[in-house]
Amino acid sequence: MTAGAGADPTLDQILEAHRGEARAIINVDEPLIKLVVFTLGRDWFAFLGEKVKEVLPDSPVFYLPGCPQSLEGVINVRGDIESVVNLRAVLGYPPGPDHQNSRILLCQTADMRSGLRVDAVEEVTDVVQSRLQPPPHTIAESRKLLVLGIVHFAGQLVTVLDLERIFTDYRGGLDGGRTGDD
Amino acid sequence: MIDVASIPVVRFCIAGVRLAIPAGAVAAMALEGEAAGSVEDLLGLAPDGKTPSRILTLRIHGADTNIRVPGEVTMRDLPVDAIHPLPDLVRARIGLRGVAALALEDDGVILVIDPTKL
Repeated sequence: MTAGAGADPTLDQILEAHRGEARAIINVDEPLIKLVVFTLGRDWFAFLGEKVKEVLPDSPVFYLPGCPQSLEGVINVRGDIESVVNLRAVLGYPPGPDHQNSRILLCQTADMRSGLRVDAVEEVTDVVQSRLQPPPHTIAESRKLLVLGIVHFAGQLVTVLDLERIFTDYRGGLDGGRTGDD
Repeated sequence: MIDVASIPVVRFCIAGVRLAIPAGAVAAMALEGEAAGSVEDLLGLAPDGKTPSRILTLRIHGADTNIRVPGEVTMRDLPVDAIHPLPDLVRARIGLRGVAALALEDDGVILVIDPTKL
């Protein structure tokens, strides 16, 4: 094998590049955000970890009459009653195939608390805050209001949702009108 | 033996939904009589159509009002520990009138009605 015409990097350059990567990886000063990453169908979403108090397995839900279909009912969490809202319905997705693998995220904001049913929880992870990017322009206007940003994780584009906004809108009667096709 | 605090309630069931009214708000029960309306109308539930029905006399702010209640009506004690306020989003979105609290039982939930809010 012959040496290239100056285009190939030198060993020093390669090692320096690796040192640079290592420095990037061990930069502990950059703030981290915890995300609870979950799916609805083939779409990946996340909530800020600080808002998710617990990930519950599918539990018996007691139906309450007079509530919208998206409000499945209430569950008993160690003696406390928590509501369960189906996030598919809130975001305008069609009903899921079954609840077998679904999870209920017990979420808490400043003044509201509820369970939110999602199809599956993929990961609870820390990401560098700077990796959270603004929502893309292609996102539907109605959905944009609910999105804090996007982040690439495990080869997927993950939409980080604004739980405060979702709860506030839901309390005010806004749900189900958003489409899940963007 | 530990005394469990409880409140007496009048219980009934509409289309599989268990409901309870604090007994202190129920002045009387009769098999027949004139009624201002059915409990389904007051709550905003679809009529049950169940017979026979009972007439409950609710005492609301000192005035008596007769309402028709379908099916079996019983009086029981409801443990205070089992009674919970409505979760935030349920309070905001439930379309039924007068539901003030929920009570958990092993096999389901009871809607506790406050007659003053009907």
